[in-house]
Amino acid sequence: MATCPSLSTAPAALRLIPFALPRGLLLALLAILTGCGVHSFKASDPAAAPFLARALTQEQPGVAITAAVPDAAETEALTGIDLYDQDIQPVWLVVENRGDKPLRIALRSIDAEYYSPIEVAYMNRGPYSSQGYADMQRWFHQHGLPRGVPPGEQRAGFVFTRRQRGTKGFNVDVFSASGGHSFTFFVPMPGFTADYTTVDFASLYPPERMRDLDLAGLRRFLETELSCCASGPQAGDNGGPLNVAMIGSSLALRRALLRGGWQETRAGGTLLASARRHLFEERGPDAIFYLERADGNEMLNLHLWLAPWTVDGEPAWIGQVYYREFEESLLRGIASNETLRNSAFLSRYIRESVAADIDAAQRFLLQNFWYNQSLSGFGVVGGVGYSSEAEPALTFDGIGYFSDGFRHVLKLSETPVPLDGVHLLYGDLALPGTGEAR
Amino acid sequence: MKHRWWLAALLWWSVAAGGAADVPPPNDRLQTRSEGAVSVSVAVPSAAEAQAIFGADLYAQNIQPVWVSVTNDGEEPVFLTPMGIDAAYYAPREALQRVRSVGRSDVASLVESAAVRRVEVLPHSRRAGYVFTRVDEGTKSFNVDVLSDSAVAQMSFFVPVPGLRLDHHDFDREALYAAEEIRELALPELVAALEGMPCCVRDADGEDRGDPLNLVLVGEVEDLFYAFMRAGWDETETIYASSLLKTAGSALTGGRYRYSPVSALYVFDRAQDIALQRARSSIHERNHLRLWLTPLVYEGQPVWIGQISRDIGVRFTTRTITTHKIDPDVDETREFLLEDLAYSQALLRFGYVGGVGAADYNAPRGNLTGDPYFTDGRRLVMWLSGTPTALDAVEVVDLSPWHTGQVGD
Repeated sequence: MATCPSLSTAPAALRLIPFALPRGLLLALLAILTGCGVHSFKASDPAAAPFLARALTQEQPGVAITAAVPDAAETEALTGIDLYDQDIQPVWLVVENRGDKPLRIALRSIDAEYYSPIEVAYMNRGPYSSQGYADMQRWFHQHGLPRGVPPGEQRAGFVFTRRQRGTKGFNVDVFSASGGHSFTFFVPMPGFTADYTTVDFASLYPPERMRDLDLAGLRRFLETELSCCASGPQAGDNGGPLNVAMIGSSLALRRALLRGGWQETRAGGTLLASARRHLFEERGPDAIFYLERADGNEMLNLHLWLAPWTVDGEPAWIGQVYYREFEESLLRGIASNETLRNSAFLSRYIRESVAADIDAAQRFLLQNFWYNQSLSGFGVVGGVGYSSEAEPALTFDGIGYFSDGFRHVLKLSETPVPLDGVHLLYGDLALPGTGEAR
Repeated sequence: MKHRWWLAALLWWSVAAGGAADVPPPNDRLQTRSEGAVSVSVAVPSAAEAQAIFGADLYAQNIQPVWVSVTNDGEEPVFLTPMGIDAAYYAPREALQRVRSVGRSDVASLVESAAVRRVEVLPHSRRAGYVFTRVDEGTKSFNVDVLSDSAVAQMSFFVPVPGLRLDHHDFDREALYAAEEIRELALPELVAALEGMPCCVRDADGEDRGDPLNLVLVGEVEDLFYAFMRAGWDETETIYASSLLKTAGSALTGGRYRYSPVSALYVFDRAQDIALQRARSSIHERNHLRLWLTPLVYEGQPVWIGQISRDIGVRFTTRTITTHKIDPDVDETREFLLEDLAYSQALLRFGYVGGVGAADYNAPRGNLTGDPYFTDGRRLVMWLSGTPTALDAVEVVDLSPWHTGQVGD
């Protein structure tokens, strides 16, 4: 542990400096020179903090978990440290073991790269005196969520997660000798409204419009009835291709997206506003999610609509997955100009742009769900229509693309599925280049 | 440009094979492994070789092409997942976007036509091409997952780039232990033997006690590497002691130790046999893990003892000038590893035996660099799984009936 100067430990030699410097100032100077702080540590009692008013509780047989997430200002008020500025977001949990066996909380389920309590303290040791740091380390250690909860007892504490923008979504898995429980929390944060929270899903379709399909019926429908693509603002506009169909509850879907690192978009926000011009059932996407590459500027977009059909009684979703095109305004201009549309520029764009290769995005989504253990089955069906680099398809807003013409059917599971637990929904797999004509 | 003929060959193949660039990289480092009806071959071109193949400096853009060929001789389709090789693999055009400034259209078509562009491999067919991964210096180590409706074939590859062929299967227990030292034990004896193991790592002189040896792994070396790689342990800077590997001698001199991130600590009078790191995306800090092979065998599988620590910063010491400051809550780090392996579907079962002995928060012990630590004193025993084990199938073994109460020296 770093040793910082105090009145008792300041070197004797310094005390002999023949300047009339006040002892306190000397100590402060010494502290600055040695990189040590002088502050004491003061924190509030989290059990009495105002953010607990927003706490959500979920119960399963034998276990109850309460979760609350302080925002940036509340975190600073609690700890005296701006943790959000360091991309650390504390999550407050109370885990009550109502069973008769010890319960173990898997902290990694909440965030695979959480910060340990003492790590957070050590990262912020700078301004504190030696005693201040000791107090801070003890406070963080004591307020970290322990892993074990004895039968009939409860434990409370923080897990220091990586900051998430928007709704704070996380899993909490707990295990006992009698089995595991998986909880998923979506804690709304002050000042952020996710787009899908403003959609009234129950009233989107009248009951008589809904149809229930079996898997074979879904395939027939996707290949022969559903249009290739979204529509656009004008009659006859072709929007982006509907290249993914999902089966699963909204909880399974939100869990899959959460595990896969997908981020929500803000209701009414300007980000991705142009994406909302792509219509299905005459409305923009019910939800738009995006996934950014950590070491680059690429961004995958996923547009989802609740479908007017169910599959064996389960909710279904239709969507588009593609790489966002950053030159979209430029391309829009080109698409609307007959001469430019046939220029070498557009063919080079098709040949090289990330966005034009929509099947790459589709492949990524499949693996993303597979590896995050959300996928219980998938299938490959036709319906988008084959297009090539030589003869690309073009959306109303000027995005050129090519595709083998397949839709991915992704069946989602609310509970984790091991890598080898994923089943092929349709045994036959079509060969590339055989997608039927548009 | 002695490799130029490869470029020509590749172009020819691109045309002849309808765009499927069925050309291994220009080296003799091809490695092949089979499991069931699936056979996988891989090779990794060096920076210069990649330049010759693609006409662009992919390595400079942190792109390392990995050539993979999957042959499916079975009756059902299988799937080759680039994400299994690198969770942040580059889609072909993501790779292309990073080298496009060279402004050559032939680069575009080369990158694209050579890439693995579909994941399925139909019955009685073969798919080959490049997966664009992030660069690993020295040895490229990665997993190839071949998934199907009924099974998953998991294979780990270690490909020196460039250099000698290195087969991690040849790990050499005989070099470390005489035949009469190797003991196959039943569970009660295993617990006693583990509790009799040294408490802590030592310095080179074998005198001062350091970090507690707080974990035990039971599993074959290939299961171990597969598990840790799947869990995101950083293969980039992984080092393997030459004592462990028959063929490693010349491959391990020089280059690899340039990256040596892990200082040597000692158990059984030797430095760690395996050192692994888990990088974290958000900050510079990492977790460090050191393992030593013991002479113990349980149900035919080797038993390893080890130590794990979580870096939480850098600090100055009088002894080594700078050192990683470790989280004094070493149990926290230990339990994280357990969860990490369980979530990577690599854990079969686990239990606890006695270890270093308890040390309280208010009366911590010190390690070799003077960092304090506190602990419940237990040693975590983990059985690794060679096939994916779902989280809810992980078994907890109560080892307490066989606890001896002994604390090793």
